[in-house]
This record gives sequence, C-alpha cells and structure tokens, in this order.
Amino acid sequence: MWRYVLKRLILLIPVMLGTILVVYFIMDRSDVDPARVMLGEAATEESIAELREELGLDDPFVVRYGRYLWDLIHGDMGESYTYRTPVFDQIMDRLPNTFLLAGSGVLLSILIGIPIGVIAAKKQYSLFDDVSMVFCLFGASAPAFWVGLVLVLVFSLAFPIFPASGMGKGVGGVLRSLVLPALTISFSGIATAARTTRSSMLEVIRQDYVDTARAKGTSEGKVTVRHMLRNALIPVITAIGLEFGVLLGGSVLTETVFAWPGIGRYVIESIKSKDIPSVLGCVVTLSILFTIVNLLVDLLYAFVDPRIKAQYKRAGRVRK
Amino acid sequence: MAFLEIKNLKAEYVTDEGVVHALNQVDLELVQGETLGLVGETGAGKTTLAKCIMGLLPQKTGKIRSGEIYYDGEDLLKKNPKEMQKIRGAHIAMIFQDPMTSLNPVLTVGEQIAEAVENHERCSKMKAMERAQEMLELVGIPAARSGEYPHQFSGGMKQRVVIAMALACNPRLLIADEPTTALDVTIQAQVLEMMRELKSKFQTSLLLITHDLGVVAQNCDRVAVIYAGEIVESGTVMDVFKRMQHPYTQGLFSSIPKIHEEVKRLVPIPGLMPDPTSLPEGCKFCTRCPHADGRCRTEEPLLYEISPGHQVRCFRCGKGRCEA
Amino acid sequence: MSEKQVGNIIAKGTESRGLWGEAWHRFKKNKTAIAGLIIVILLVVIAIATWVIDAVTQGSVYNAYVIEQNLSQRLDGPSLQHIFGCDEYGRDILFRLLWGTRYSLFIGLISILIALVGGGFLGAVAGFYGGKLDNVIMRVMDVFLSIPSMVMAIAIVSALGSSIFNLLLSIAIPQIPRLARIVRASVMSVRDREFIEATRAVGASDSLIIWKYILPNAMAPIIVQASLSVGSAILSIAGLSFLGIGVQPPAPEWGSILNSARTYMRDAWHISVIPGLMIMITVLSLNLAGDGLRDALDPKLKN
Repeated sequence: MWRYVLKRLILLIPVMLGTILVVYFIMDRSDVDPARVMLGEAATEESIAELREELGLDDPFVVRYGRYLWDLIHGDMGESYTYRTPVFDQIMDRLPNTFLLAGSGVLLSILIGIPIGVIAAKKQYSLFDDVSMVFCLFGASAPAFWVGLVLVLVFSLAFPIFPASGMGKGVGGVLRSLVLPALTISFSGIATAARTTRSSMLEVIRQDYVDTARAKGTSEGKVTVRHMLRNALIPVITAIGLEFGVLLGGSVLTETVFAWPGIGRYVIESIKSKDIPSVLGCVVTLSILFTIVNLLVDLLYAFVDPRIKAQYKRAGRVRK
Repeated sequence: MAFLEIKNLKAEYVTDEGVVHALNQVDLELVQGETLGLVGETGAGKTTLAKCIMGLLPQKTGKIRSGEIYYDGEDLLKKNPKEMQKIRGAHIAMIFQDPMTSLNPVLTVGEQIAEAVENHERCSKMKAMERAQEMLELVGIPAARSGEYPHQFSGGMKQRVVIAMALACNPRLLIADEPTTALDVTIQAQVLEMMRELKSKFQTSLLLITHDLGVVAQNCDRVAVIYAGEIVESGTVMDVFKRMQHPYTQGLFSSIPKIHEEVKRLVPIPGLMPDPTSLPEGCKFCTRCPHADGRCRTEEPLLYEISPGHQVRCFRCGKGRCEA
Repeated sequence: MSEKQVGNIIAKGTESRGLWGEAWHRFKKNKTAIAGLIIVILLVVIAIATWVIDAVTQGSVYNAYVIEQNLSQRLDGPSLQHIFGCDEYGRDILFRLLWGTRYSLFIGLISILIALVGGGFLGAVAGFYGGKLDNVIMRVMDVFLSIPSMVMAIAIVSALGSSIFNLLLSIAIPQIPRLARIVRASVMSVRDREFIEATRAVGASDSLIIWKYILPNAMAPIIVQASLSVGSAILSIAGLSFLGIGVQPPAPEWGSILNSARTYMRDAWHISVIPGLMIMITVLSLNLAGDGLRDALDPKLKN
C-alpha cells in the first residue's frame, strides 16, 4: 500500500509540471510588459529594453519556464508589482484563510449533505425526499456569489447577526465571520453530496447483503450505516473530491463577496492591478492544492473499499 | 408438535404495474428437528414465503393480507420490529440464494459473522470474533482467514461463510433459499453434505427451498409443493415422490429425467405459470391441467387430506373424487 | 458479406430513429423535464427577439431602454411601471434582464459547442486508436483536469483580456477534458461492437467509421453531458462578470448587473436579488431538461 502511495506521489510530479506549464503558458500570453510596469510610465524605451535584458524576458519560452520552475522549487514566485514583496510571502499569508474557508465548506457539505442523502434514500418518495431534492436542484443551479449576496441581505442587513464582510479577530470573531462565507461556499457542495449520496444509497438499498444483515438481527440503524452507507460512499467521495475543485474556484467568488482575506481575493486584486507574478502564483498554488486533493481522494478509496485497496497493493507490487 | 405453523397466508406486492399476488393460500407445518422441502418453479412464491417468515418483505411494496405464522405458539406477524429483530438470527436464520451477493464487500468475513453474535449475545468484540473463527473452522475454513474480505473467497467458500453466519447464534430454524443453485455441481454436494451434518449437530430444523427434486429426495423428511402462491400438495417424501396426487406434482416428476427408467421422451407441463398480477379464477392450475373441468374454473379447491399428513389441493382428491 | 447486408447490420447497430423516438416518448412523460425545456425555449425566444428588435430598430430600443441613464428614477424599487425596479442609473431592470439573456445563452451554448468539438475530437481519436496516442492525450487531459475550471477561466481572461472570444475560450477550455473523457469512453464501448467490424471488413476508412458509425452510436451520453455543461458554463460567465473580468458594463449581462448591485445592497435589495433569480432559473431549467434527457436516453441510470 505505501509503495503505491509513493508511486502516486512520484507520478504527481509530471502532472504538476504539466499544470504549471499550462498556467505559465496562459499567463505568458499576457501583453503586460513587466519591465514597463516596474519602471513606471515615465521610463524611456532604452531603460525598458535594458531591464528586459536583465530580467531575461526576451529569452525563449522554455528557458523562462525552466527558470520559473527552478525558482518555484526554492519557494520563489517572483515579486509582486503592487506590494513590492515576494509573491510567495503574500500567498503564504493568505493560504491559511483560504484553507479555513474551503475546509469548512467541505466539512459542511459532508456533515449536512450526506445525512440528507441517506434519509432521502431511506424514505424515498416521502415529503422529506421531495423537499430535499428540490432544495438540491436549486442548490446546484444557484450561483454561489449570489447565494452570498442573499445571505448578506438577510443575515447582515435585515437581521444583523453575522458580519457582512472581512475576517473577525480572535477565535470567536473568526468563527462568526466564517459562518456566511462557509455557508455560501458549501451551498452547491451540500446539494451535490446529498444528491450523490441519495442515488448511490438507492442502488445499495436493494443489495442482497443488506437483507443478509437484517436476517442476522442487525438493527436498522446499524444496517444503514455499516452495510448501506459504507458501500454507497465511493461515488460520494468522488463527487466531493470534484466539488473541492469547484470550491477552490468558488473561493475566488466567495472571498470577493465577503472580502475574505484569502488567495481568491488576492488573485482578483492582482488581475485588476495587472500584477502578473501574483496572478500566476495564485493560480499555480490553487492548481497544486487541487492536484493534492485529487490524490488524497484516490487514496481515501482504499480505506473505504478493500477491493480497491487490493488493486492498489497489486499496482504497487508490479512496478517495483 | 409443529413449532412453525403457517396458516392461510396471503401476501402481495403492490407495484406500479399492478398488484402481484405472490402468496395466495399457504398452509405449512414444520416439526422440530425436521427438514421440510419447499418445491416450486421460479416465481411460485418460495422466496416471498421465506421473507414473510423472517419479516423481511420490502416495506414499501410488500403487504401481508391475511394469515398467521406461529413460531412456538406466538404469531410472528403480530410482533413489532424490535421483537422481530431479536428473533432474526437468534431463533430463525436465513441463507440467501446467491452467495456472491449476500456478503457485504467492505467488511471482513470475520466481522460479518461476529456481528451476528454481537447482535444477540452480550459479549465483547473479542469474544464475538473468537466465536466467528470457531464457526469458520466448523464450515471448513481456516480461522486465519477471518480477516479476509469476501472478494478473496470462491463462490462455494462464500456460501460456507454465509452458513457459518446463519448458524453462529445456534438458531432453531434455518431457512435456506436455494442455497446451492448458484454453485457448481461438485460444490453443491459438499455444501449440502455440510449443511446436513451441521443441522444434526445443532439440532436445527430446516426449511429448504429449492426447485431441485434430487436435493429434496436426499435431504428432506417432508415436502410441500408450491404453485402460483399456493401449496398444492404436501406430505412425506414418500407420499409426494411415490404417491403424488396433484396433477402439477405429477407433471413436475414426468418433466425430469429418471436414470433407472427408460423413458423415450420427457413430458413437459404445457403452458406457463399464470401471471401473478391476474390469476385465473378457480384452481390456479386449471389453465395447464389435463383434468380440468368446469368446476375447476369457477371454484377454488381446498387442501384435502387423503392419508394422514398427505394433503392435496385438487377436487379429484376431495369427497366423491374420481380416480386418475 | 454484401454491401447491403453490412448496411443492415449497421442500421441495426445504429437504431437511430428507434432510440431517439423512444427517448422523446419517455421525455414527454417527465413533467419537470418538459417544464425545464419550455423555459429554455422561452429564454431562447427572448434572446432572439431582442436581437431582432435591435436589428430592426438599429439599436434605438436598446439604447433608449437598456443603456440610457435616467437618474430621476435611480434605485427605484419594484412598481407597476417598473415591475423589477430600476438600477443605480435609473435603468429598468426588466429590460436589462431581457436584453441580458443573449449573453448567458449565447456564450453558454457556443462555448460548450467549442468544447464539444475539441473534446469530441480528442476523445474520439484517443478512444478509437487506443494505445500510446490514447495515453498521451489522456495524460494531457489529466493535467487540464487538475486545474479548477473557474481558476483556469480566470487565468485565461486575465492574461488575454475579456473580449467575447476570450470569454468563450476561457469557458470552453476547462470543459474540454470532461467531454473528451466521456466521448472516449463511449467510443471505446462502441468500437468493438460487431457492426463496426463489419464496416471495417468492407474497407471503410477510419475517419468515415468514426464519423458515420461510431459517433452517432456514442452520441447519447455525450449529448447528456453537453446539455448539463451548458448550465455550469452559464454559471461561470456570470461568475466572471461578477468579478468584473467577464462581460463589461454597460452591457446588461446578469452577473455584471449583480456586481454593480453590490454597492447598493443597503438601499436597493432588488438589484442584487432579481438577476440572481434569473440566472438560477435559467440554469435550473437547463439542468432539469438535461436530467430528463439523461433519464430518457438511458432509463437504467434513473436513480
């Protein structure tokens, strides 16, 4: 098993290189000239050309990409045009906030979405089932940022319970200011988790082993959790893993709505001020995060389903 | 004395396509320690009957219309879900048809057997696992394999696990629903042999559901033949195999090859079993019966006792019967 | 085997009229799907109608009702005269929403079409030829999949600027790997069926086989995925415009209306609620129709 994890980690390297290549390539299309930005409006053509030479901006693409990679490995993402400080530091300052927001979003999706899906499946065609599935349909169709706006209208302006923006001080303050953004970002995740859990449960509910479990006198609660849900979990994990990508993208929107000091808000700020190294750094960071989450999801399968674990073991052995 | 007695049981499934009359008139008795074979075609209602006894009819669609199921003098149909849960596994256990699908793929076989023990006995997880390992040894699987998952076992081995699980709490009645149908012929014999041994060891009564008459002849004391949700004939193996009276039973026997007799051609029963959503009036077998007359098409025959313990649902065996 | 026999086998394999006829029959019975479809058709009609009006009046209606500012009715709430109220420049929100329909639908549909062509080509080639080529294409797709789609869209737009063409690209490119995967899987499932071998036996070329025989048979799951993707494409456009890097004001794109509405939330709630409802209804009806399509094409998948 650990051999497989190692193998997957090694395989992660080309994917990350590819990801960074794609992102770097896209950002390289930008017509913003770093030299011009750095020297300001008043700079002469000669001084700009000089700086370009110095920064190696006229080198071939491959060379520049190689240099970016080399610096990246050393924790150097270049310098922000706006802040005149290393992009890496800016990102590290904000990364925990984005983690907090995205993490609570996933947690809420799991804690609310899965129970809704389980109950809806066990009570198929009941009122609860209908109501929760209608909620899920709306949840999957509503734009996250708009959900945020509505939450602010209701819970900050009409009934001032939670702050409309920013991040509070101290644990209590942070939690209080986290409520609305976390609800916003998890809205579609809850819907997705509930829908997937329900349909996966409905498949499992009819399985013979469920009746076998009942036939040996297992209580219905235990049958539901131990025999149905555990078998229904794989598609749910897949869906939540994919949702994490949506969530990272959504963090850009949610952080903008709530002025949450995370990477998402930073990237938008940087786009507006044409701060290319910062944008690149944020996009690279978010992509690397998602790649790692994808790997974790794949490994999580092994803990849920012994058949997949056996496959992983075999895969680890063959390519020793 | 019969410790399982089913009286006048009627059950149906309510589906979008209509009401499926799965059980129409089932009367059965099972004496302690005995093996009763329940024989019938696919769709005759065998599995439904087993699920009725276990209280495992699908909640949404399955409905018991009337009848009683007495277990030790108490009507199981009057018990609440909690009480039934205590009976399942501890008093009455069941083996399902397909061993490939009746084990939970994400739990080890040891955990699954131990769960049965934990459900009914106050004991630690350790003790339950020890008991599970003993049960595995008993069905011929090394205790060391208790930590393996179902996908690591073959079909026959899985059925052994299922049997170990069913017998883990020493139930008084074991319902085996086609326990060997999904297995290879050689494995079938092994599994049946093992079931026979364990049954006499634990003194369990057995309700053996099958469509294989050979299995019945080898294993059962008594036989009941079920057709379209009705018991049409029941009696000792001798009664039913040698002195069968119901035309369906007769048809059943003439449609299987006999090794000792030279028969030129097998005689199949003409036609198909009636659609359970729209059963014929009168005798359910009248559409396929070579002896059916006007009365058979309008009036339902009762179970007539033609000799002690040998009952037949056919007018020809009732009062003023005509000889076949 | 004669050409005609091959034709028969192919016809049997295709069953095109049968499949679609059958699917339409099932779709008709699905009330929510029909409701979704009706709303989608209605929105398409609105988009086309506003277009025609602009063409006929040479943009005068557009300028007078959608763009021109009327500060006397600034931030007016819903009333009989303006049932959805007015925005921060006193423009009628109903008109802006109606004229904004085309952005969401147009960009949503076209971007998915682009993604379908790109993903379809890559997926079909990978699925049909298999082997190394398949491996290379799918690994590249994996790389694209590991960039969250909204993040990639933001990167593209921020680097290239937010012209309509770049917007289309930024929505389409992240969708390509998803569609490529589905096309590849369905092509692979059709590839080894007998009627394909029969076609090959009479000497048809690879591209002919892919185009004429494999793709039509692999169409069902592709169309379902594509129809469901349009909804998420519309959400992405609205998101980009909301961030200020999508469709630019004064164009009445729904997400862009919401962006400017944020400033006035305290005074005029209606501007931040109504456009969002519009987006939700559009995406919801597309999803309902898409779900209905999936259930109709593959009844086994239902629940």
